[in-house]
Amino acid sequence: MSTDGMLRPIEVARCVGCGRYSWYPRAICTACGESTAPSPRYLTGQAYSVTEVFSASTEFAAQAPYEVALVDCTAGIRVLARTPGGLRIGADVMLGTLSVGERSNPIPFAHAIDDRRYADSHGKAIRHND
Amino acid sequence: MKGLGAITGVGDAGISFRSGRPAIDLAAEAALEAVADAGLQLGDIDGLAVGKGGDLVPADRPSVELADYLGLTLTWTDTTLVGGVSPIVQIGHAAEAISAGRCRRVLVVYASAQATNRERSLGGQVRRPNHHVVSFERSSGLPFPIGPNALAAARHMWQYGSTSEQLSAVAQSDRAWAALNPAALRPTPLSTEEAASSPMICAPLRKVDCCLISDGAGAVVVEAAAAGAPRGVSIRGFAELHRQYSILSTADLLTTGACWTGPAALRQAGCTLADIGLLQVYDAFTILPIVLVENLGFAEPGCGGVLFAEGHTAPGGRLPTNTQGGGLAHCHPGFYGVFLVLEAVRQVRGETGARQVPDPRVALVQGAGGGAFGGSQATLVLAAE
Repeated sequence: MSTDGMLRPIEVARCVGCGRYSWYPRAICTACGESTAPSPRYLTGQAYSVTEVFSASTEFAAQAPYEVALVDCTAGIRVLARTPGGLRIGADVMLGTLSVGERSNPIPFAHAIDDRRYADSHGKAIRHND
Repeated sequence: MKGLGAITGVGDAGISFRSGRPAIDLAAEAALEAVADAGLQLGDIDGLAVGKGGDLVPADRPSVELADYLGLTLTWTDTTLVGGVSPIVQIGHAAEAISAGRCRRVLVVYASAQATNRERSLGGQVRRPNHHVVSFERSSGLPFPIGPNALAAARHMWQYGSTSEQLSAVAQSDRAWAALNPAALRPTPLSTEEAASSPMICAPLRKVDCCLISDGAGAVVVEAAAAGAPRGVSIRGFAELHRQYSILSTADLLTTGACWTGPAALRQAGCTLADIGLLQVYDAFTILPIVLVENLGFAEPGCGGVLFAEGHTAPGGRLPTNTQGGGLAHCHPGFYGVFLVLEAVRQVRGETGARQVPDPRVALVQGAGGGAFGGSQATLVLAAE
Protein backbone atom coordinates (compact mmCIF):
# COMPACT_ATOMS: atom_id res chain seq x y z
CA MET A 1 0.00 0.00 0.00
CA SER A 2 1.28 3.45 -0.89
CA THR A 3 0.54 5.57 2.19
CA ASP A 4 2.09 8.34 4.26
CA GLY A 5 1.46 6.16 7.32
CA MET A 6 -0.46 8.87 9.16
CA LEU A 7 -3.45 7.53 11.09
CA ARG A 8 -6.26 10.05 10.67
CA PRO A 9 -9.75 10.18 12.23
CA ILE A 10 -12.57 8.16 10.70
CA GLU A 11 -15.63 10.18 9.72
CA VAL A 12 -18.49 8.30 11.37
CA ALA A 13 -22.00 9.77 11.62
CA ARG A 14 -23.33 10.90 15.01
CA CYS A 15 -26.90 11.71 15.95
CA VAL A 16 -27.36 15.37 16.86
CA GLY A 17 -30.15 14.33 19.28
CA CYS A 18 -29.12 11.23 21.24
CA GLY A 19 -25.44 11.05 20.31
CA ARG A 20 -25.57 7.53 18.91
CA TYR A 21 -22.94 6.68 16.28
CA SER A 22 -23.61 5.13 12.89
CA TRP A 23 -21.33 3.22 10.51
CA TYR A 24 -21.84 3.02 7.56
CA PRO A 25 -22.90 6.68 7.94
CA ARG A 26 -26.70 7.06 8.01
CA ALA A 27 -28.30 10.46 7.48
CA ILE A 28 -30.99 9.63 10.05
CA CYS A 29 -30.58 8.09 13.50
CA THR A 30 -32.40 4.74 13.55
CA ALA A 31 -32.75 4.96 17.36
CA CYS A 32 -34.45 8.36 17.73
CA GLY A 33 -35.14 9.65 14.22
CA GLU A 34 -33.05 12.82 14.52
CA SER A 35 -30.59 13.76 11.81
CA THR A 36 -26.89 12.98 12.07
CA ALA A 37 -23.74 14.99 11.47
CA PRO A 38 -20.25 13.85 10.45
CA SER A 39 -18.11 13.16 13.52
CA PRO A 40 -14.43 12.57 12.70
CA ARG A 41 -12.83 10.62 15.55
CA TYR A 42 -10.49 7.85 16.52
CA LEU A 43 -12.24 4.72 17.75
CA THR A 44 -11.26 1.98 20.15
CA GLY A 45 -12.68 -1.51 20.25
CA GLN A 46 -11.97 -5.23 19.98
CA ALA A 47 -11.19 -7.35 16.94
CA TYR A 48 -14.31 -9.54 16.55
CA SER A 49 -12.75 -11.49 13.72
CA VAL A 50 -9.74 -11.35 11.42
CA THR A 51 -9.07 -12.81 7.97
CA GLU A 52 -6.11 -12.76 5.62
CA VAL A 53 -7.08 -12.14 2.00
CA PHE A 54 -4.99 -14.08 -0.51
CA SER A 55 -7.26 -13.82 -3.54
CA ALA A 56 -8.62 -10.29 -3.85
CA SER A 57 -10.85 -8.63 -6.39
CA THR A 58 -9.14 -6.85 -9.28
CA GLU A 59 -9.02 -3.50 -7.49
CA PHE A 60 -7.03 -4.88 -4.54
CA ALA A 61 -5.20 -7.81 -6.18
CA ALA A 62 -1.81 -6.06 -6.23
CA GLN A 63 -1.96 -5.55 -2.44
CA ALA A 64 -2.66 -9.23 -1.54
CA PRO A 65 -2.08 -10.89 0.77
CA TYR A 66 -3.41 -8.46 3.36
CA GLU A 67 -5.37 -8.67 6.60
CA VAL A 68 -8.89 -7.36 7.27
CA ALA A 69 -10.57 -7.18 10.69
CA LEU A 70 -14.18 -6.73 11.73
CA VAL A 71 -13.91 -4.45 14.76
CA ASP A 72 -16.53 -4.06 17.51
CA CYS A 73 -16.07 -0.44 18.58
CA THR A 74 -16.88 0.87 22.05
CA ALA A 75 -18.89 3.56 20.22
CA GLY A 76 -21.45 0.81 19.48
CA ILE A 77 -20.63 0.35 15.80
CA ARG A 78 -18.82 -2.25 13.68
CA VAL A 79 -16.10 -1.29 11.22
CA LEU A 80 -14.26 -3.36 8.60
CA ALA A 81 -10.64 -2.27 8.66
CA ARG A 82 -7.23 -3.14 7.29
CA THR A 83 -4.61 -4.11 9.86
CA PRO A 84 -0.80 -4.10 9.89
CA GLY A 85 -0.97 -7.93 9.94
CA GLY A 86 -0.80 -10.40 12.82
CA LEU A 87 -3.81 -8.94 14.66
CA ARG A 88 -5.43 -11.47 16.98
CA ILE A 89 -9.16 -11.92 17.54
CA GLY A 90 -10.15 -10.38 20.87
CA ALA A 91 -7.27 -7.88 20.79
CA ASP A 92 -7.94 -4.32 21.94
CA VAL A 93 -7.48 -2.04 18.95
CA MET A 94 -7.34 1.61 17.96
CA LEU A 95 -9.01 2.53 14.71
CA GLY A 96 -8.63 5.45 12.32
CA THR A 97 -8.04 5.78 8.60
CA LEU A 98 -5.08 5.73 6.25
CA SER A 99 -4.96 7.59 2.97
CA VAL A 100 -3.71 5.25 0.28
CA GLY A 101 -2.40 6.34 -3.11
CA GLU A 102 -4.78 8.50 -5.08
CA ARG A 103 -7.92 7.02 -3.57
CA SER A 104 -10.50 9.59 -2.59
CA ASN A 105 -11.82 7.45 0.28
CA PRO A 106 -9.32 6.69 3.04
CA ILE A 107 -9.18 3.07 4.25
CA PRO A 108 -10.28 2.27 7.83
CA PHE A 109 -7.21 0.92 9.62
CA ALA A 110 -7.02 -0.85 12.99
CA HIS A 111 -3.94 -1.78 15.00
CA ALA A 112 -3.50 -3.46 18.36
CA ILE A 113 -3.30 -0.89 21.15
CA ASP A 114 -0.15 -2.60 22.44
CA ASP A 115 1.50 -2.46 18.99
CA ARG A 116 4.61 -0.34 19.69
CA ARG A 117 4.87 0.72 16.04
CA TYR A 118 1.86 2.95 16.57
CA ALA A 119 2.72 4.42 19.97
CA ASP A 120 2.64 7.96 18.58
CA SER A 121 -0.89 7.63 17.31
CA HIS A 122 -2.32 7.00 20.80
CA GLY A 123 -1.62 10.39 22.28
CA LYS A 124 -2.76 12.10 19.12
CA ALA A 125 -6.00 10.15 19.11
CA ILE A 126 -6.75 10.90 22.75
CA ARG A 127 -6.12 14.61 22.24
CA HIS A 128 -8.30 14.63 19.13
CA ASN A 129 -11.26 12.87 20.75
CA ASP A 130 -11.08 15.15 23.79
CA MET B 1 -52.36 -32.77 7.92
CA LYS B 2 -53.29 -30.14 5.34
CA GLY B 3 -50.27 -28.19 4.19
CA LEU B 4 -49.90 -24.56 3.16
CA GLY B 5 -49.69 -25.73 -0.43
CA ALA B 6 -48.01 -28.38 -2.53
CA ILE B 7 -45.02 -28.61 -4.83
CA THR B 8 -46.38 -30.65 -7.73
CA GLY B 9 -43.59 -30.41 -10.27
CA VAL B 10 -39.83 -29.82 -10.47
CA GLY B 11 -37.35 -29.39 -13.30
CA ASP B 12 -33.78 -28.34 -14.00
CA ALA B 13 -31.66 -27.54 -17.03
CA GLY B 14 -28.16 -26.64 -18.12
CA ILE B 15 -26.29 -27.74 -14.99
CA SER B 16 -22.71 -27.55 -16.28
CA PHE B 17 -19.48 -25.60 -16.02
CA ARG B 18 -20.17 -24.05 -19.39
CA SER B 19 -23.55 -24.46 -21.03
CA GLY B 20 -22.80 -21.83 -23.66
CA ARG B 21 -26.48 -20.91 -23.61
CA PRO B 22 -28.35 -17.77 -22.54
CA ALA B 23 -29.88 -18.01 -19.06
CA ILE B 24 -33.37 -17.33 -20.40
CA ASP B 25 -33.14 -20.51 -22.53
CA LEU B 26 -32.14 -22.51 -19.45
CA ALA B 27 -35.02 -20.91 -17.50
CA ALA B 28 -37.54 -21.87 -20.16
CA GLU B 29 -36.25 -25.45 -20.39
CA ALA B 30 -36.42 -25.93 -16.60
CA ALA B 31 -39.88 -24.35 -16.51
CA LEU B 32 -41.23 -26.66 -19.21
CA GLU B 33 -39.80 -29.70 -17.42
CA ALA B 34 -41.43 -28.67 -14.14
CA VAL B 35 -44.80 -28.04 -15.81
CA ALA B 36 -44.69 -31.44 -17.54
CA ASP B 37 -43.61 -33.06 -14.26
CA ALA B 38 -46.73 -31.61 -12.64
CA GLY B 39 -48.89 -33.08 -15.41
CA LEU B 40 -49.86 -29.57 -16.56
CA GLN B 41 -49.68 -27.48 -19.72
CA LEU B 42 -47.91 -24.10 -19.85
CA GLY B 43 -51.29 -22.42 -20.29
CA ASP B 44 -52.32 -23.68 -16.83
CA ILE B 45 -49.73 -21.40 -15.20
CA ASP B 46 -51.12 -18.08 -13.96
CA GLY B 47 -48.41 -17.04 -11.49
CA LEU B 48 -44.66 -16.67 -12.01
CA ALA B 49 -41.88 -15.81 -9.56
CA VAL B 50 -38.36 -15.10 -10.79
CA GLY B 51 -35.47 -13.66 -8.84
CA LYS B 52 -32.96 -11.65 -10.79
CA GLY B 53 -30.69 -14.26 -12.29
CA GLY B 54 -27.23 -13.09 -13.27
CA ASP B 55 -27.70 -12.58 -16.98
CA LEU B 56 -31.45 -13.19 -17.02
CA VAL B 57 -31.55 -9.60 -18.14
CA PRO B 58 -32.81 -7.03 -18.55
CA ALA B 59 -33.43 -8.08 -14.99
CA ASP B 60 -35.47 -5.03 -14.06
CA ARG B 61 -38.58 -7.12 -14.83
CA PRO B 62 -37.27 -10.69 -14.80
CA SER B 63 -40.62 -12.41 -14.25
CA VAL B 64 -42.31 -10.44 -17.02
CA GLU B 65 -39.39 -11.21 -19.30
CA LEU B 66 -39.76 -14.93 -18.71
CA ALA B 67 -43.58 -14.75 -18.95
CA ASP B 68 -43.16 -13.04 -22.32
CA TYR B 69 -40.73 -15.73 -23.47
CA LEU B 70 -43.10 -18.52 -22.38
CA GLY B 71 -46.23 -16.75 -23.65
CA LEU B 72 -47.85 -16.60 -20.20
CA THR B 73 -50.46 -14.18 -18.88
CA LEU B 74 -50.12 -13.71 -15.12
CA THR B 75 -52.56 -12.73 -12.39
CA TRP B 76 -49.74 -12.78 -9.83
CA THR B 77 -45.99 -12.28 -9.89
CA ASP B 78 -43.12 -11.94 -7.41
CA THR B 79 -39.53 -10.86 -7.92
CA THR B 80 -38.46 -10.91 -4.27
CA LEU B 81 -34.69 -10.53 -4.34
CA VAL B 82 -32.98 -11.58 -1.11
CA GLY B 83 -29.91 -13.43 -2.36
CA GLY B 84 -29.55 -17.19 -2.79
CA VAL B 85 -32.58 -17.94 -0.64
CA SER B 86 -34.88 -15.99 -3.00
CA PRO B 87 -36.49 -19.02 -4.71
CA ILE B 88 -37.36 -20.54 -1.31
CA VAL B 89 -38.96 -17.31 -0.15
CA GLN B 90 -40.86 -17.10 -3.44
CA ILE B 91 -42.23 -20.64 -2.93
CA GLY B 92 -43.59 -19.53 0.46
CA HIS B 93 -45.09 -16.39 -1.06
CA ALA B 94 -46.61 -18.43 -3.91
CA ALA B 95 -48.38 -20.77 -1.49
CA GLU B 96 -49.83 -17.75 0.32
CA ALA B 97 -50.98 -16.13 -2.94
CA ILE B 98 -52.72 -19.37 -3.98
CA SER B 99 -54.43 -19.60 -0.57
CA ALA B 100 -55.60 -16.01 -1.02
CA GLY B 101 -57.16 -16.90 -4.38
CA ARG B 102 -54.85 -14.67 -6.41
CA CYS B 103 -53.71 -17.47 -8.69
CA ARG B 104 -53.89 -21.27 -8.94
CA ARG B 105 -50.65 -22.61 -10.36
CA VAL B 106 -47.34 -20.83 -9.86
CA LEU B 107 -43.96 -21.42 -11.46
CA VAL B 108 -40.92 -20.41 -9.40
CA VAL B 109 -37.85 -20.25 -11.65
CA TYR B 110 -34.19 -19.39 -11.28
CA ALA B 111 -31.57 -19.49 -14.02
CA SER B 112 -28.04 -18.27 -14.56
CA ALA B 113 -25.27 -18.71 -17.10
CA GLN B 114 -22.73 -17.02 -14.82
CA ALA B 115 -19.99 -19.54 -15.57
CA THR B 116 -20.39 -19.17 -19.33
CA ASN B 117 -20.37 -15.41 -18.88
CA ARG B 118 -17.39 -15.49 -16.47
CA GLU B 119 -19.17 -13.15 -14.05
CA ARG B 120 -17.78 -14.58 -10.82
CA SER B 121 -14.43 -15.50 -9.34
CA LEU B 122 -13.28 -16.80 -5.96
CA GLY B 123 -11.65 -13.42 -5.31
CA GLY B 124 -15.13 -12.00 -5.25
CA GLN B 125 -17.23 -10.06 -7.62
CA VAL B 126 -16.57 -6.38 -8.02
CA ARG B 127 -19.44 -4.66 -6.28
CA ARG B 128 -20.76 -1.34 -7.49
CA PRO B 129 -18.41 1.37 -6.18
CA ASN B 130 -21.03 4.12 -6.21
CA HIS B 131 -23.32 2.17 -3.92
CA HIS B 132 -23.44 4.09 -0.62
CA VAL B 133 -23.62 1.19 1.86
CA VAL B 134 -21.40 -1.18 -0.09
CA SER B 135 -18.64 1.39 -0.53
CA PHE B 136 -18.02 1.36 3.24
CA GLU B 137 -17.62 -2.42 3.23
CA ARG B 138 -15.51 -2.43 0.14
CA SER B 139 -12.98 0.19 1.23
CA SER B 140 -11.32 -2.43 3.46
CA GLY B 141 -10.62 -4.73 0.51
CA LEU B 142 -12.71 -7.55 1.99
CA PRO B 143 -13.86 -9.70 -0.97
CA PHE B 144 -17.54 -10.61 -1.26
CA PRO B 145 -19.20 -12.96 -0.68
CA ILE B 146 -16.28 -15.04 0.65
CA GLY B 147 -15.01 -12.39 3.09
CA PRO B 148 -17.91 -12.43 5.58
CA ASN B 149 -17.84 -16.25 5.50
CA ALA B 150 -14.10 -16.22 6.24
CA LEU B 151 -14.65 -13.83 9.17
CA ALA B 152 -17.40 -16.11 10.51
CA ALA B 153 -15.15 -19.17 10.16
CA ALA B 154 -12.21 -17.46 11.90
CA ARG B 155 -14.49 -16.36 14.74
CA HIS B 156 -16.03 -19.85 15.05
CA MET B 157 -12.55 -21.38 15.35
CA TRP B 158 -11.49 -18.80 17.93
CA GLN B 159 -14.67 -19.03 19.98
CA TYR B 160 -15.22 -22.79 19.89
CA GLY B 161 -11.92 -24.33 18.85
CA SER B 162 -13.32 -25.74 15.63
CA THR B 163 -10.79 -26.78 13.01
CA SER B 164 -9.93 -26.62 9.31
CA GLU B 165 -10.54 -30.37 9.21
CA GLN B 166 -14.13 -29.78 10.36
CA LEU B 167 -14.62 -27.21 7.59
CA SER B 168 -13.26 -29.71 5.05
CA ALA B 169 -15.59 -32.38 6.44
CA VAL B 170 -18.54 -30.41 5.07
CA ALA B 171 -17.04 -30.56 1.58
CA GLN B 172 -16.16 -34.25 2.07
CA SER B 173 -19.77 -35.04 3.03
CA ASP B 174 -21.06 -33.20 -0.06
CA ARG B 175 -18.53 -34.96 -2.30
CA ALA B 176 -19.54 -38.37 -0.94
CA TRP B 177 -23.17 -37.68 -1.86
CA ALA B 178 -22.17 -36.18 -5.23
CA ALA B 179 -20.48 -39.47 -6.14
CA LEU B 180 -24.00 -40.99 -6.08
CA ASN B 181 -25.52 -38.23 -8.25
CA PRO B 182 -24.93 -38.47 -12.03
CA ALA B 183 -25.82 -34.76 -12.36
CA ALA B 184 -23.18 -33.56 -9.86
CA LEU B 185 -20.34 -31.55 -11.40
CA ARG B 186 -17.70 -32.54 -8.79
CA PRO B 187 -18.33 -36.19 -7.90
CA THR B 188 -14.78 -37.15 -6.93
CA PRO B 189 -13.98 -37.99 -3.28
CA LEU B 190 -12.06 -35.34 -1.33
CA SER B 191 -9.16 -36.68 0.75
CA THR B 192 -8.03 -34.95 3.92
CA GLU B 193 -4.60 -34.41 2.32
CA GLU B 194 -6.09 -32.80 -0.79
CA ALA B 195 -8.25 -30.52 1.36
CA ALA B 196 -5.29 -29.46 3.50
CA SER B 197 -3.19 -28.54 0.45
CA SER B 198 -5.96 -26.66 -1.35
CA PRO B 199 -4.99 -23.03 -2.06
CA MET B 200 -5.90 -20.51 0.65
CA ILE B 201 -8.34 -17.93 -0.75
CA CYS B 202 -9.46 -15.95 2.29
CA ALA B 203 -8.19 -17.47 5.54
CA PRO B 204 -9.24 -19.86 6.92
CA LEU B 205 -11.25 -20.70 3.78
CA ARG B 206 -9.49 -22.65 1.04
CA LYS B 207 -10.63 -23.32 -2.48
CA VAL B 208 -12.28 -26.60 -1.39
CA ASP B 209 -14.37 -24.61 1.11
CA CYS B 210 -15.96 -22.60 -1.72
CA CYS B 211 -19.01 -23.53 -3.76
CA LEU B 212 -18.68 -24.27 -7.46
CA ILE B 213 -19.26 -21.57 -10.06
CA SER B 214 -21.56 -23.07 -12.69
CA ASP B 215 -24.48 -22.51 -15.02
CA GLY B 216 -27.87 -23.98 -14.31
CA ALA B 217 -31.60 -23.47 -13.92
CA GLY B 218 -34.23 -24.85 -11.58
CA ALA B 219 -38.01 -24.60 -11.54
CA VAL B 220 -40.81 -25.57 -9.18
CA VAL B 221 -44.60 -25.69 -9.64
CA VAL B 222 -46.66 -24.70 -6.59
CA GLU B 223 -50.38 -25.52 -6.32
CA ALA B 224 -53.01 -25.62 -3.60
CA ALA B 225 -52.68 -28.30 -0.93
CA ALA B 226 -55.80 -30.10 -2.11
CA ALA B 227 -54.87 -30.00 -5.81
CA GLY B 228 -54.82 -33.79 -5.81
CA ALA B 229 -51.60 -34.07 -7.80
CA PRO B 230 -50.49 -37.71 -7.57
CA ARG B 231 -46.85 -36.81 -6.89
CA GLY B 232 -47.36 -33.67 -4.89
CA VAL B 233 -45.14 -32.87 -1.92
CA SER B 234 -46.79 -30.95 0.88
CA ILE B 235 -45.46 -27.60 2.09
CA ARG B 236 -45.99 -27.99 5.85
CA GLY B 237 -44.14 -25.00 7.21
CA PHE B 238 -42.49 -21.81 6.00
CA ALA B 239 -40.80 -18.89 7.73
CA GLU B 240 -38.55 -16.07 6.57
CA LEU B 241 -36.42 -13.51 8.40
CA HIS B 242 -34.50 -10.61 6.92
CA ARG B 243 -32.21 -8.86 9.35
CA GLN B 244 -29.20 -7.22 7.77
CA TYR B 245 -28.01 -6.11 4.39
CA SER B 246 -24.49 -5.21 5.44
CA ILE B 247 -21.97 -7.18 7.48
CA LEU B 248 -21.43 -3.88 9.33
CA SER B 249 -24.93 -4.34 10.79
CA THR B 250 -24.58 -7.92 12.05
CA ALA B 251 -24.95 -8.41 15.79
CA ASP B 252 -23.10 -11.75 15.87
CA LEU B 253 -22.01 -13.66 12.78
CA LEU B 254 -22.61 -17.00 14.51
CA THR B 255 -26.26 -16.33 15.37
CA THR B 256 -28.28 -16.07 12.16
CA GLY B 257 -31.99 -15.66 11.51
CA ALA B 258 -32.20 -19.47 11.26
CA CYS B 259 -32.47 -19.47 15.08
CA TRP B 260 -35.97 -18.11 14.54
CA THR B 261 -37.07 -19.40 11.11
CA GLY B 262 -36.27 -23.04 11.94
CA PRO B 263 -38.44 -23.30 15.07
CA ALA B 264 -41.18 -21.14 13.49
CA ALA B 265 -41.47 -23.34 10.39
CA LEU B 266 -41.31 -26.56 12.45
CA ARG B 267 -44.03 -25.28 14.79
CA GLN B 268 -46.27 -24.50 11.82
CA ALA B 269 -45.60 -27.98 10.43
CA GLY B 270 -46.38 -29.61 13.78
CA CYS B 271 -42.95 -31.26 13.73
CA THR B 272 -39.81 -31.41 15.81
CA LEU B 273 -36.19 -31.84 14.78
CA ALA B 274 -36.54 -35.56 15.56
CA ASP B 275 -38.97 -35.91 12.63
CA ILE B 276 -36.48 -34.57 10.08
CA GLY B 277 -35.13 -37.34 7.84
CA LEU B 278 -33.40 -35.09 5.31
CA LEU B 279 -31.63 -31.74 5.72
CA GLN B 280 -31.05 -29.52 2.72
CA VAL B 281 -28.93 -26.60 3.91
CA TYR B 282 -27.32 -23.75 2.02
CA ASP B 283 -23.59 -24.32 1.63
CA ALA B 284 -22.05 -21.50 -0.38
CA PHE B 285 -19.01 -21.93 1.89
CA THR B 286 -18.27 -24.75 4.34
CA ILE B 287 -18.72 -22.57 7.44
CA LEU B 288 -22.33 -21.76 6.58
CA PRO B 289 -23.85 -25.24 7.14
CA ILE B 290 -21.79 -25.58 10.32
CA VAL B 291 -23.37 -22.44 11.78
CA LEU B 292 -26.83 -23.26 10.41
CA VAL B 293 -27.01 -26.77 11.93
CA GLU B 294 -26.16 -25.14 15.26
CA ASN B 295 -28.73 -22.36 14.82
CA LEU B 296 -31.41 -24.89 13.79
CA GLY B 297 -30.65 -27.06 16.82
CA PHE B 298 -29.21 -30.14 15.08
CA ALA B 299 -25.96 -29.49 17.00
CA GLU B 300 -25.03 -27.60 20.16
CA PRO B 301 -23.47 -24.15 19.61
CA GLY B 302 -19.88 -24.71 18.53
CA CYS B 303 -20.43 -28.39 17.65
CA GLY B 304 -21.70 -28.05 14.06
CA GLY B 305 -18.34 -29.05 12.63
CA VAL B 306 -18.31 -32.19 14.77
CA LEU B 307 -21.64 -33.29 13.23
CA PHE B 308 -20.01 -33.26 9.79
CA ALA B 309 -16.60 -34.58 10.89
CA GLU B 310 -18.20 -37.61 12.59
CA GLY B 311 -19.95 -38.55 9.36
CA HIS B 312 -23.55 -38.06 10.53
CA THR B 313 -24.45 -36.00 7.43
CA ALA B 314 -22.77 -38.30 4.87
CA PRO B 315 -24.27 -41.38 3.14
CA GLY B 316 -25.33 -43.82 5.87
CA GLY B 317 -25.38 -41.12 8.54
CA ARG B 318 -28.30 -40.32 10.86
CA LEU B 319 -28.93 -36.87 9.32
CA PRO B 320 -28.55 -37.18 5.52
CA THR B 321 -27.63 -33.67 4.35
CA ASN B 322 -27.41 -32.14 0.87
CA THR B 323 -27.85 -35.51 -0.79
CA GLN B 324 -27.41 -34.10 -4.31
CA GLY B 325 -23.92 -32.89 -3.35
CA GLY B 326 -24.81 -29.34 -2.36
CA GLY B 327 -23.38 -26.16 -3.77
CA LEU B 328 -19.89 -27.46 -3.04
CA ALA B 329 -20.13 -30.52 -5.32
CA HIS B 330 -23.43 -30.55 -7.27
CA CYS B 331 -23.55 -27.12 -8.91
CA HIS B 332 -23.85 -23.46 -7.91
CA PRO B 333 -25.29 -21.08 -10.50
CA GLY B 334 -25.93 -18.38 -7.89
CA PHE B 335 -29.26 -18.70 -6.11
CA TYR B 336 -28.76 -22.31 -5.00
CA GLY B 337 -31.94 -22.29 -2.90
CA VAL B 338 -34.05 -23.69 -5.73
CA PHE B 339 -31.76 -26.74 -6.05
CA LEU B 340 -32.06 -27.45 -2.32
CA VAL B 341 -35.82 -27.69 -2.84
CA LEU B 342 -35.59 -29.80 -6.00
CA GLU B 343 -33.58 -32.46 -4.19
CA ALA B 344 -35.90 -32.44 -1.18
CA VAL B 345 -38.92 -32.99 -3.44
CA ARG B 346 -37.20 -35.80 -5.35
CA GLN B 347 -36.08 -37.47 -2.11
CA VAL B 348 -39.55 -37.28 -0.53
CA ARG B 349 -40.97 -38.79 -3.73
CA GLY B 350 -38.37 -41.58 -3.62
CA GLU B 351 -36.91 -40.80 -7.05
CA THR B 352 -33.21 -40.32 -6.32
CA GLY B 353 -31.76 -43.73 -7.19
CA ALA B 354 -28.42 -44.64 -5.61
CA ARG B 355 -28.55 -41.73 -3.17
CA GLN B 356 -32.13 -42.33 -2.05
CA VAL B 357 -32.59 -41.89 1.69
CA PRO B 358 -34.56 -44.91 2.98
CA ASP B 359 -37.08 -42.90 4.98
CA PRO B 360 -36.92 -39.17 4.16
CA ARG B 361 -40.17 -38.64 6.17
CA VAL B 362 -40.00 -34.89 6.59
CA ALA B 363 -37.40 -32.70 4.87
CA LEU B 364 -36.13 -29.39 6.21
CA VAL B 365 -34.78 -26.91 3.67
CA GLN B 366 -32.72 -24.03 5.06
CA GLY B 367 -31.81 -21.23 2.70
CA ALA B 368 -29.51 -18.30 3.34
CA GLY B 369 -29.04 -15.21 1.26
CA GLY B 370 -27.03 -12.06 0.99
CA GLY B 371 -23.42 -11.08 1.43
CA ALA B 372 -23.74 -10.38 5.16
CA PHE B 373 -23.29 -14.06 6.09
CA GLY B 374 -26.90 -15.02 5.52
CA GLY B 375 -28.66 -11.78 6.42
CA SER B 376 -31.80 -13.30 4.90
CA GLN B 377 -32.93 -16.73 6.09
CA ALA B 378 -35.88 -18.96 5.20
CA THR B 379 -36.96 -22.42 6.31
CA LEU B 380 -39.26 -24.70 4.32
CA VAL B 381 -40.62 -27.96 5.78
CA LEU B 382 -41.72 -30.49 3.16
CA ALA B 383 -43.41 -33.89 3.56
CA ALA B 384 -45.25 -36.49 1.49
CA GLU B 385 -48.88 -35.45 0.91
